Amino acid sequence: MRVALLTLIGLALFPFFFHAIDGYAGLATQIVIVSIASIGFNFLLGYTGLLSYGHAMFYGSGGYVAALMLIRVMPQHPNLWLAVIGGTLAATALALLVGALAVRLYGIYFALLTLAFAQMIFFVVEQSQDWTNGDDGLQNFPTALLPVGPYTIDLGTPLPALALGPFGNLSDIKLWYVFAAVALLGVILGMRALTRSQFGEVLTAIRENEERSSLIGFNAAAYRLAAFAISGALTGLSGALRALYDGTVAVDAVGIDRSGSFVIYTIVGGVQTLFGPVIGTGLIMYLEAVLSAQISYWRLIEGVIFVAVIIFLPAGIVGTLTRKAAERARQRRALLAESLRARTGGPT
Amino acid sequence: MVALTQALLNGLVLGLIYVAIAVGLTIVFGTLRLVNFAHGAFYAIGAYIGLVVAQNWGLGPALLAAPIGVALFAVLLDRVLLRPFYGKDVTSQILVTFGIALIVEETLRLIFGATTQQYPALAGLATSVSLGPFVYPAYRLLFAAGVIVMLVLVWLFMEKTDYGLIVRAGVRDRTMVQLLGGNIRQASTIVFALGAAIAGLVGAAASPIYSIAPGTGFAFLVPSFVVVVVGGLGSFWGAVLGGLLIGELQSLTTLAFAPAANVIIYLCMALVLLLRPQGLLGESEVIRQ
Amino acid sequence: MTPVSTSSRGRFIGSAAAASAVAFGSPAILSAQSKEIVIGLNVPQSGPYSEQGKDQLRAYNLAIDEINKSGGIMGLKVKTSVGDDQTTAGVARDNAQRMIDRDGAVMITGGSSTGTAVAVSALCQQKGSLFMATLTHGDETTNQNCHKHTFRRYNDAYMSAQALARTLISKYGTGTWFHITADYSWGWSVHDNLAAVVNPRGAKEIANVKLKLGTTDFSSALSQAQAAKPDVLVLTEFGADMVNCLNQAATFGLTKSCKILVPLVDEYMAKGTKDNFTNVVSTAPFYWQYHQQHYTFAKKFVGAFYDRYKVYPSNGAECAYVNILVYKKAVEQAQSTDPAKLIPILENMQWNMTKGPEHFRKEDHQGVNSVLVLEGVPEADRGADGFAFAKVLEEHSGPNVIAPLNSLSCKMETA
Repeated sequence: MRVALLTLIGLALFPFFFHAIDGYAGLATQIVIVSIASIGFNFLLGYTGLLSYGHAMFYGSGGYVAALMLIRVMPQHPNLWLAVIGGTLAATALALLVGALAVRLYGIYFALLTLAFAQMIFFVVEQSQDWTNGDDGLQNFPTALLPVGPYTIDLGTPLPALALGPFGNLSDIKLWYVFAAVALLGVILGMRALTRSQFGEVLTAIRENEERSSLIGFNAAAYRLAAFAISGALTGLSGALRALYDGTVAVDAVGIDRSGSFVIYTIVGGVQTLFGPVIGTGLIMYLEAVLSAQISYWRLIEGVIFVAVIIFLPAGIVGTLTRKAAERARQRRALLAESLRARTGGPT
Repeated sequence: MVALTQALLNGLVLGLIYVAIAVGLTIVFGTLRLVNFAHGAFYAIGAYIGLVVAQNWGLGPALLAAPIGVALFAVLLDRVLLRPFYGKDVTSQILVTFGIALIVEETLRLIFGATTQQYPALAGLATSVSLGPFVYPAYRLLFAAGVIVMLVLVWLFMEKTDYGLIVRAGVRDRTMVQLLGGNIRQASTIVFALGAAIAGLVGAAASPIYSIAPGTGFAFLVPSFVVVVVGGLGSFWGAVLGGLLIGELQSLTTLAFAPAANVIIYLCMALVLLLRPQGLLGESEVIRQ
Repeated sequence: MTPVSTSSRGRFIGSAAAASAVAFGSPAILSAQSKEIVIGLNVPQSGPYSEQGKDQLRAYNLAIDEINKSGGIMGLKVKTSVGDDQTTAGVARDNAQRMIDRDGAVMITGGSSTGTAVAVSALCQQKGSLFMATLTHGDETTNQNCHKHTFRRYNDAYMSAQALARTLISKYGTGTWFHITADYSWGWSVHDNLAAVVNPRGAKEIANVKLKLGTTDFSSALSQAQAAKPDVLVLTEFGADMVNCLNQAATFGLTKSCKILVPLVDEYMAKGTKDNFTNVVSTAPFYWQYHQQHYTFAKKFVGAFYDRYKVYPSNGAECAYVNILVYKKAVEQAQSTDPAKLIPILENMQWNMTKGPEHFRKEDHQGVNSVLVLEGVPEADRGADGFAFAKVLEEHSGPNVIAPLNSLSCKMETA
């Protein structure tokens, strides 16, 4: 409940504070959307212990399928629900396929296999010009509309105007942001429930000590496959939303740099934390957008941050903060217990 | 027929570049148990050192300066950053070396700019030689010959010297070697520097053909991982065989059906990982982390 | 605004999307408080076309500094927001969005690839911002993917193919042709246009080998070309790709054994290929050495550019420079930066600057101006800095080579 409230407030205030630090609403929406993919990636890396170097294949396939559905299947009645669901299902199917093959491998071999599949898909997408328009990508597809009961919503509609000084104007925010924020909220709550469920605990057990878990009777491969599929699904959902929001999708969505970006966002934010991937995505995407206009070597700064985090803050920004907070909380409790015992004269 | 022969030659040249990069990668993995995503950085640094030296003093000195410069950089990297990561979990290794690769690439971009740079004209070497029914660039043939000579030297080092012996034994059983008193620490540093130097030399030598941009190192690194997987992580001959195989495969596929050329090498990698993860000539114990 | 389809049932939220944009302040319209005009410069600063991008920035800065020194546009100072489009469609688009949303750009310009141009064009249409495309050569920018808010002054592939063919057809029309083509929209556009002109007149196309943008190794394509022994070898590559390709072609002996065509060239590509560019035939919309001799305005521009930067302007730079001046002229005529007012003015405007009389065609917003057919001269004759790289074989006037209206598939929006 606290998490839900915290997230809700955070998401509601985010675009305005973002504007005050030179961000803009469009980027805020993109950050929210991509965070979903980072959370999906983190589920695989942080909780299942598998480093995938090919997650762009899910992000990209989600995007391309969503776009293709609008262009080829329903150009007359572009339905956003169907496009999003279509993209997510495609990514999930791909994840099941690749996962079935990949979960038998470990460590570097797993990472390289995911890389191999992602690269294959990248080149196939690039070459299938009739379907994907090659390097130029798909553009100009119909605006997806969102049927909700008796209404049909165009997510491009802005909120009513209300000037907020340094925080911009309420009308900077389009309904797209609201939609994406609700989606992210759902994903965060779902992820929280998942990691605390029995499924999540088994995954942790498998990650910590696979041999022992197998001896108890858990089918490690099956659990990993399920985790892989969930991870792929979330990343595909993100890709679909991004393509629909941008109105365009190109090969860079399936590329190796995109795969690498999820790794960077998640590590910097904090592996194995709930909010880490979101914070990491926001921070790095913000730096990219804002810094790149001022400094030509912003990617160097990004690389330095990344390496510094790995060496000095292996738990990521959020992870280190929560660890420190947990540490302080523990110390406080110990002190409290100590003083209580002193007063009541109980056992030491 | 002519087209086929040319494609085979092109594949040889390309394959030898892969071999040179993969050899360093695979030896380092075998001895140090380090997955080095920054290996492409060695290629790039070598190419840029070579560029600067070649512009001022010619290609010959460039081919000397590049491997030396890169080896020094590798030793520095080893001492300062990477040592705590040897033998650690693979994920951390991949991440930190990937980060280093990013930093190196961006630093090169900062220093040299993002534009693709051409090596100075090769004068006499820019001609083509007549090979029967067709002509072929002379420099490419020279390059191929040079890489083969270099590989022979590396092989001799591995087989005939004490360091090489320690390294090869270390691949099989690191602990035993240390117990037997072999200075595996020193041998490891030398091996790491050697692998880097090879990549740096090839970077300088191949750039007259392909030119160099900050991203070229990483661009060659990814297929080199394919080579290492196909050949077998840790195996010198695996890298040689794998490199030639992948180079030829890419070249021949470009001839037969160009759009498939890039897909097919990753398909190869996937098949090997699934059917025979230790690669063609690798050891099967290597798979378990 | 992208046309929005209404649902037959129920109420429609957002049908006033177009209207609301105006009501809530379209970014392209200056509010009363703005003291400046922001122009977005979206150019490649990394990747195979980064030299071209750098040169465009030089020209933009020259034009804008000159304008600001003489009082700005409508008395307002001109500011820029710069971005690196990385020759990637998604990045170019995101840059443009940032420039419009965050920096308040009222006009976007720049770029060296048709892929990015098409992406930015779509975004600008969606946002109601003006896009003055610079170095985009593929037909589709003003054909299949034309937009009301996009204007493209640079020659397109159809024009270059026509110009090349007319100059060369008598000599090589019935020979054998081998094509090596960059595998994306620009490459296909150029190849298809060229083939459509020469093949019906007797040219025999042996093969068309397509290679990805950014390919560094052309050996397999060049080997095939060598084996085919064509009369004409067409290298439809640009920027650093073309430099690599032509240099490697020389090592395969192809510069000696066949006539080489490079459909579009600029000074940096010629410099990068040095003597290998000798006798190579190409086209360009502008060549500093030629135009400064024939047009006083061009002489002034070339002089100012050289004085400031100590290099001569490439054709992309010239297009960038003139784009800014044309924009200024239109804004001053409209006394507004509102695209709704600017577009009709730009459609009907004529100007006489670096290349003589020019205008935009109303139906597709394609610039109607001349195309040069050039032939590379030996490096020894190119001057100390290598910029005088060619001699002009022929100048074709815009109306003679532009694609006829009935061949276009451009369906432009009404707003």
